[in-house]
Amino acid sequence: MTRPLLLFVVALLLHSAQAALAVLLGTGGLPVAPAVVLLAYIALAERPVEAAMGALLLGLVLDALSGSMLGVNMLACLLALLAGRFFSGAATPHGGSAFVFGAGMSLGYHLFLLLLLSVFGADRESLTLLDIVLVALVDGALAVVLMPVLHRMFVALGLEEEEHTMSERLSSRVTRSRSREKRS
Amino acid sequence: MFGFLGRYRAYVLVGAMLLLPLVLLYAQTRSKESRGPVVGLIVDAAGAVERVLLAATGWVSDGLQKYVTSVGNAEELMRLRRQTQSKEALQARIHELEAQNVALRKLAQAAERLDGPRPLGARIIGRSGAPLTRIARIDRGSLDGVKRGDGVVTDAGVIGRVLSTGFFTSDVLLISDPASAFDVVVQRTRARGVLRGEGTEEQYRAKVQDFDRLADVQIGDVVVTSGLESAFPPGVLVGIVEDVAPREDGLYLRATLTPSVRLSDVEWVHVLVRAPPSRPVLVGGTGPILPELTQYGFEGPPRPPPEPEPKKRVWRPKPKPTPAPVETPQPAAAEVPP
Repeated sequence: MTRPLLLFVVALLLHSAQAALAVLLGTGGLPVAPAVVLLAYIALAERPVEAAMGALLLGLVLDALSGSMLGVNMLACLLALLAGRFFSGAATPHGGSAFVFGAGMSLGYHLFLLLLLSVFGADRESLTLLDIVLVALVDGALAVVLMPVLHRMFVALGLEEEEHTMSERLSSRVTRSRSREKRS
Repeated sequence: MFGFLGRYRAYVLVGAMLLLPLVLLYAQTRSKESRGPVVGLIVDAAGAVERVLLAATGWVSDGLQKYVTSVGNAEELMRLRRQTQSKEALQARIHELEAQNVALRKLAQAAERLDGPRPLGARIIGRSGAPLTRIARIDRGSLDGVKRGDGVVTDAGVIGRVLSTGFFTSDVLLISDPASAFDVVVQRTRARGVLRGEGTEEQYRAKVQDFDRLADVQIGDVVVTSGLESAFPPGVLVGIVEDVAPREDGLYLRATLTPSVRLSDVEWVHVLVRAPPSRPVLVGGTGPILPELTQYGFEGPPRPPPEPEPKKRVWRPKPKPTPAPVETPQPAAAEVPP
């Protein structure tokens, strides 16, 4: 439960930094959603229940700070997480793999969000697919930078193992148990 | 039963978590008044971080400037440079202050013209929500009397409406956001319609889809608030009609507007609050001054002289009417013979 809470705080900090940066740069808002990158990290590295809890918390941050109906982003995050889990075995939080996975998760999340907004009657006709693709690309680039930093932070805090993904951890556990069996 | 729950604990928990947002969404369809205290707390936390970041960036840039000016070889050269730089900096500062002064005066004058809600000055400290929403975060919250639904304006016109409030911070939904909607009229012909946002990343726009087909709406018409909603007084500038075309159904006209305010450049705004503040207010209004500023000689806006207290009426028993003194004939003085 500690890791989802920590990710919640990190998401809040990143979104605040993004909003302040938009004021400093004099733009209407930056086309990036840091919480979605954290969601991608959760999909890669967390256990199912903790991952769902983390997705809910990240969705809450997005709901609160984006002004949409409370619950829409939470649901979109959960759905994107469930979808992302299918591909998480093939991805790592490093380099091109992180970029593709982050961008894909962002794309999936925004498409789910659009779908939910249309279901719940919110008018978003001005939002184009180009906007979503742009945000997905920026999120992918952010994932390349952010995911290794997050991993190191969690390892340093003793909240995560050295292995990067769930599949790596599971395989390392299997090898460890086999080596123990051999010793015994 | 418990064995089943224990065996499929993870699935049950994830299923419950999937249900939670649906419950929240259902609850909001029942009550649209508030977004809950948790949202307020998150908005407050984000606002606090944004304030710290803005202050920190200002501090770092000041420090860098000091460092750059303090590094040098010749003391004389440095002295002269410093003098020149300080003069230039002073001049720039004077220009900046003059510009700020003019802007704030305009804002104050615009606020004075407004009837009804009390204008409360606020600074924009963050912008977020892109690409789905257009949100600006201001440094005033529920402790200042700001409530969900309050209107937000500048001297140039309408900005948006308060979407959610924390104790010290609030989120403003800009008029260019598709979720924004309020009643407007064309100033020339009084044609009425509902303005909705149509914002994109590049352009701030809004549209009115339901002008009567027979109404006279032309390109260049000025659109103002109708005053039907309590958030905005009537006659506040909203934008200029950029394009008019009949809708597909042929019953209504659809007008595209350019908002009168360039929303990405706004730094200071007025919130039109409808509730009295619960803490002292400095900017806007004539509220009490913060006590710590009075020690520096800041006295705030001139206040009317105190009215003399009315004299207290004290009850006194009425004096009993005393009977008129009966004039007793004075004994005639004995006549003294000359």
